[in-house]
Amino acid sequence: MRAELTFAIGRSSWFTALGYSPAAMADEATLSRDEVLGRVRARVLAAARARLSPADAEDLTQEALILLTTKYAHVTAAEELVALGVRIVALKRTAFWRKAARRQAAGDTPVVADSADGDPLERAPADSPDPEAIARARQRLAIFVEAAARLDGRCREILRRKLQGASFVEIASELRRPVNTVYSWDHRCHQRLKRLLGDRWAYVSGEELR
Amino acid sequence: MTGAAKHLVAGYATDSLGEAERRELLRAALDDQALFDTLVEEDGLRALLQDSAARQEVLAVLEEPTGWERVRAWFERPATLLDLGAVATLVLGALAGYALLAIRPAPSAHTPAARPMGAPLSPQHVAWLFQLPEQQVAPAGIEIANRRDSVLAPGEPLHLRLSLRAPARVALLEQRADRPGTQAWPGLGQAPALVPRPASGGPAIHHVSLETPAEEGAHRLRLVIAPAALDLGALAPEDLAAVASQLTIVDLRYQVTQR
Repeated sequence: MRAELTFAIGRSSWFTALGYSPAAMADEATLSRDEVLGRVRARVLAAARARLSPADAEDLTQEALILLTTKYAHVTAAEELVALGVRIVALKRTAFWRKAARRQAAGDTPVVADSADGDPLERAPADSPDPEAIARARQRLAIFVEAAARLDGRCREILRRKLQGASFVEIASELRRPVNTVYSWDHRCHQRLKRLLGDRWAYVSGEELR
Repeated sequence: MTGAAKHLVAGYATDSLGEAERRELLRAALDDQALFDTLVEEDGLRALLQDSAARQEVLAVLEEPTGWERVRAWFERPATLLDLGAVATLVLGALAGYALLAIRPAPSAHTPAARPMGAPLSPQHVAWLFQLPEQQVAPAGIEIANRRDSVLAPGEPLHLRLSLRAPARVALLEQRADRPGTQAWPGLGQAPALVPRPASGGPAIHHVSLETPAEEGAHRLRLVIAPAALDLGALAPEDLAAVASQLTIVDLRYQVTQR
């Protein structure tokens, strides 16, 4: 499995802005899938270890790698493998926490339905018939709506345009500002939104269950 | 995490990145653990906003104007007759209020009650007081109210405005032409008025109304102010010289002419 990956690297300002040296760019342009997976594995393991026990983190990483090498074997682009890694970690980590919480609630007796197993990408919360998941999704939406309603001025306007599907380039054009300015505004507004979301968001997102 | 990649994270959560931006962000996350962790943290938000119904619900809230936007929109709309009427009413109300305050003298400047107290002044007291020169031991003044000149007709009302530092005992003496002086206020036979300190702490203002004499010629009014503790009427005429230095004496001269 040494499918060579090639990336269309333009000499855009973003590469230098992101801190890529020409040598690093040349290195990444010829990464094999195995090399990419090796790096993804390292990222997944570190992200899992940050919130789970070492054993659970190892389990999660193994499951993620199995999925990436079997079910998603057709995915070759490095950025898509990273995106899958991010999504799998997020969903599996939450599933681990919920599983642990259910075990705790059931007095450490085994839980029959093990939501941490399998491909989490096939059980998107919106499609889940699980009433608990639906209730959680509604709760998260209510918290987000409440936080968004408290945004004003530029932050409200940027979030509105983003949710309408506008890209940063389009927003910059509409606001007659350089796109880098819009990036900075959006970053600050996102930080503000996260503060408005507060601890309740972390709780219903499962992060408080760990 | 580099600054540029950090700025793209918010766009990742809302799925607002263009293809190139998304590729650059995810490529950066391949070798940047902090960025990868941030993307994992953002996944819950991203999953929420990928649901079109949820997105619409948030959009509906964002499209509602904020309180400040409502105020701004109200001011930006074309003015109506009702607005003009309201503005005119406010302006008229403000003018009326200002006029009322400006016309009505400040109540604190007036002395609420000045009443005769102590022993009345005898003709000897009055005569002696007219012999003293004008002197200002304490600030005091007497003027004809609402008039610039001091020429009046016989029998014309004479409105006087007295200002002084209270508390004090006050008497207004009158000398018509060459006749001997008499007490004009308080009335004959009454003691000098004790003027209390105004609540405002400022000078006490008193209005006194008299009538000009029937005789033509030059006349004089003499305002005599003694300390509140000094009862001039109780002193024997021979003892008055000892307290002369405590008295404030101000004269007002006016002319009575047949017009």
